[in-house]
Amino acid sequence: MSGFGVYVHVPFCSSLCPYCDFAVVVGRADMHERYCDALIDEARAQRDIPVATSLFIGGGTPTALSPALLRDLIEGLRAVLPLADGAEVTVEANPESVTAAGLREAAEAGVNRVSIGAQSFAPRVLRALGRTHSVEQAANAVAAARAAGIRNVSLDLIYGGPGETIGDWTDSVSRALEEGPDHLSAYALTIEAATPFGKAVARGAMDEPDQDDLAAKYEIVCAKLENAGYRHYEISNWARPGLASRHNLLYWTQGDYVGLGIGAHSHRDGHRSWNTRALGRYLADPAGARDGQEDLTGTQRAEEWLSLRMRLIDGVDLRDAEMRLGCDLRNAAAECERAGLLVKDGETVRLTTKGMLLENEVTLRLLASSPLALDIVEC
Amino acid sequence: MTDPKSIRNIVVAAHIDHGKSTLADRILVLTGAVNARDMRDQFLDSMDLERERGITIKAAAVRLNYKGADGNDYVINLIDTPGHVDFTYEVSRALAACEGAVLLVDASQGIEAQTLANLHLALEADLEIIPVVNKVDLPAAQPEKVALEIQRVLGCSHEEILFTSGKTGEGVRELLEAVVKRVPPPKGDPEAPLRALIFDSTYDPYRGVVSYIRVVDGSLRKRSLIKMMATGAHHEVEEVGVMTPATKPSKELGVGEVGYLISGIKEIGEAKVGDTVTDTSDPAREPLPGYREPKPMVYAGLYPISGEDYPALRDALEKLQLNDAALTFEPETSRALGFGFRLGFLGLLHMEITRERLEREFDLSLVTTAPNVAYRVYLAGGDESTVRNPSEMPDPGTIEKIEEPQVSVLMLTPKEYVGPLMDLCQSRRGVLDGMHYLGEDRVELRYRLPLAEIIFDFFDQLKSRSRGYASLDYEPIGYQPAQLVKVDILLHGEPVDAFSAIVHKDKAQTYGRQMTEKLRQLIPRQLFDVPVQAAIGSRVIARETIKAKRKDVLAKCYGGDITRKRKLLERQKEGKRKMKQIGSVEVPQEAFIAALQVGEEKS
Repeated sequence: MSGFGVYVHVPFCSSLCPYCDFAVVVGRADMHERYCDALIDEARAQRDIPVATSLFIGGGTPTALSPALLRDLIEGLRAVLPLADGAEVTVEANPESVTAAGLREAAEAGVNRVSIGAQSFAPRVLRALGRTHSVEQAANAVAAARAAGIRNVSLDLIYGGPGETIGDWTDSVSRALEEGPDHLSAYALTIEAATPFGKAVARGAMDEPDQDDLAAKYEIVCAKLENAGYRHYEISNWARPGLASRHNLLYWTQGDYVGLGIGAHSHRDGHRSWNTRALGRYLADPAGARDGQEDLTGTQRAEEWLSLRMRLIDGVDLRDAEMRLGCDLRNAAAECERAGLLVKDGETVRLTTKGMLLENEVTLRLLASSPLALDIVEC
Repeated sequence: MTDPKSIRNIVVAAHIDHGKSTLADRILVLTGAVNARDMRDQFLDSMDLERERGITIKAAAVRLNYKGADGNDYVINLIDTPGHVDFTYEVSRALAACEGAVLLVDASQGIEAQTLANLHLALEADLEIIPVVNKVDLPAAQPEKVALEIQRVLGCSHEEILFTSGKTGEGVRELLEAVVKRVPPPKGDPEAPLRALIFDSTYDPYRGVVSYIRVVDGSLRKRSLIKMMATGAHHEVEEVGVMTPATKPSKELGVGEVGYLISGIKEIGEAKVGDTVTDTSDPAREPLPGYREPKPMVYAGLYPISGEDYPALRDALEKLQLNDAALTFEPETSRALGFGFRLGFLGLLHMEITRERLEREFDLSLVTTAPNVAYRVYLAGGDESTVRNPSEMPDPGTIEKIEEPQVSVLMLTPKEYVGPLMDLCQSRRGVLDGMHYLGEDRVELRYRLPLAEIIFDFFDQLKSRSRGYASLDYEPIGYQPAQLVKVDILLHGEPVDAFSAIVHKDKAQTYGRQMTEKLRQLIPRQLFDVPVQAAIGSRVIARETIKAKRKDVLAKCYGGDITRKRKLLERQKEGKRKMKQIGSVEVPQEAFIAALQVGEEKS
């Protein structure tokens, strides 16, 4: 997988979702314009940037910006960063702040993919997740995107929200399918320590999502989406054939990308870096907002490669993996196959649905393999 | 040599914290043995650990010069004794080296179980007893009430009781006067072959073994050839002398004298407490009575938390053993805990002290298995063996009879706690042996109990059920048959050695349920269902299931933040490296440690 991605983080939100661990800023409409200018400044300061094959404007809530400002931002970025013909240009949209008119402006600026944060189609669960939109607004958002001429529409769903029953989830998936999305992401609710949910769990006011419940819900979404003809191309992602997110695939294939805005991450050839999450610091010096970086060692890079690649339904070529890791993976792979976690097809191993739920475990078992005998490494 | 007529040999017997060391310090200053300026707190307690715990583990002796009110010069040898139940034998040997005992009782605490136990030992040794009520300066002191208790247990008159304060020095001179007047001088035959009692031995890295001795008959001279009558070891005397408390070499020690002996012995096992030293050229016919091999009563496995520390643990144990003849150890391997040692201890305190010294002085992090006693197992074929580790218990089908050690337990408690303590003892298979009122509200309770029932959390229970007021002492009284079974804990069908336990058959079910439940909670879920069973032989008595893990995956990465995922992977990888493999089940060592610790919780 070759290509280069640009991620742009728009941190503004109308309200704070209690599970979200992104860098976000509630309100502060007065800052929107300055922030967009800063993003352009940061983009302009980039050196040796290849032609981008994908641009992803995420958040936060990009649609919290006014349609005109969002349009100016996209055009401003494109003026500074070269974009390949046919590049995938995605905007994340929240149902409560998306309009057909706004999306039309975005489409005119080059956006060809919209990812809508529907999260759930059960009103009770939406409220428990702290979402302010209604089920109708989520449906309307898809219609708005279609009306704006956007061909590729994705829905994000979260399962395992507080109080969500198996029935709620099954219905949510069905309702999502009724909207006819081109792409779906379904994420297990993950409790992060720094979030309101994380703090509630820490003080005992809330239970961690039950792992068995999450597993059951995962199996439900896998089955329903497969029946509906979607390709399960990554652990949490499904798409109609040919519509897998090119931008997200870069993350799973150790591809290169640059992240702009607060809390954004970049990767270039084994060098990972990330920006400050502090808005003030970023605005003061967007080109010098880097907060940390690391250079992966050869082993770290190989192990990370395996742990990311295993998430993809295309799986891993064992010979390739063995050369990178210098380990004999055959025994561990066979053991995982016997446990029903992997299937082996020629030299390719890929996770089963059961294996996808246990991806960490499978990867760890493969990584625990003993080194290859020397003569095999040489050939 | 000192004229025996001017010698007085005494011990101070007291419960922990009743002020023995402070009073001893006071005596040292008053007799001029130690300059008041050089005095550090509790001079006789030489180890840091003892100082912190307020107890004395190793006996020491000091020779004091005292000018009596009658104008005569006296030598008082003050022999210190270890103050805990685990060291009863050492105490008895220190008592055997004396003619008198100062029975020290705290004026606010009154008589405690240990005071009584020591009193009984002193009476058995036929010592002149000088009862003393100490700490009379304290606001909470009730000297008259305590004096009454003493009169009752000792059958003495009020006039015989002295009142002192180690802190202010009140009554200390009167005490020394009582010692020279009431305690008889040592008797012994200066012409008879040498007989000297070893009442303590320590190891010095420069001098080898230093033995503390009391000459009973004959005399001990530098350069003479000596023999240890129990171990048969022969040596030449390199140095003899007295402690003032600084060591002061002398040419010869005669009848009744107390001092030290250095004779090139390198191993403490060759100069055991209670052994008799005699002259090789003119040996005594009979050793002094009362020698006993130190016998461990309690066993536990000790394992380094990190496997690399195993050699360091072995070195540390060898060093400790130089100074502790009662400590035994042998290598042991556990599937759950790796390589370690099975240690034998005199009792629970001995175990705790040893463990603490290993961790503190040798900087080791250790896991200790639940302690157990030594069982005598009689097989159907007539063979007999001693089992010190539950996992070595033979197949139940081959066992004819199992015997377990019994102890006689003495408890002193305010009367309102008698009920709770009786409940405690009955729940531990105790048999009431007797009950006496010491005073209006203090009761002496005696129970016979299996040692196995008191080594776990009995002491903590005793303290919590009596709000800290009850005290405890115990002594072994032999073996008795019991309906005991070995309960194994199996993980996916594989026994986990560290959790095998020998318990009474009526308690097997409870133990099995508790352990399986604990392990179910502590062991992380695996890729398959894992049964956790408790079994006696092949009969399963409790079962829990660790359900298969179904989910272990990161849902997403936040906007290209792969670093977070990689760090999770690295943490998990490190965790996996530390897993112990029990059959096909992976268990983090912390789970085993936690399960062992949970076992120590109060029931």
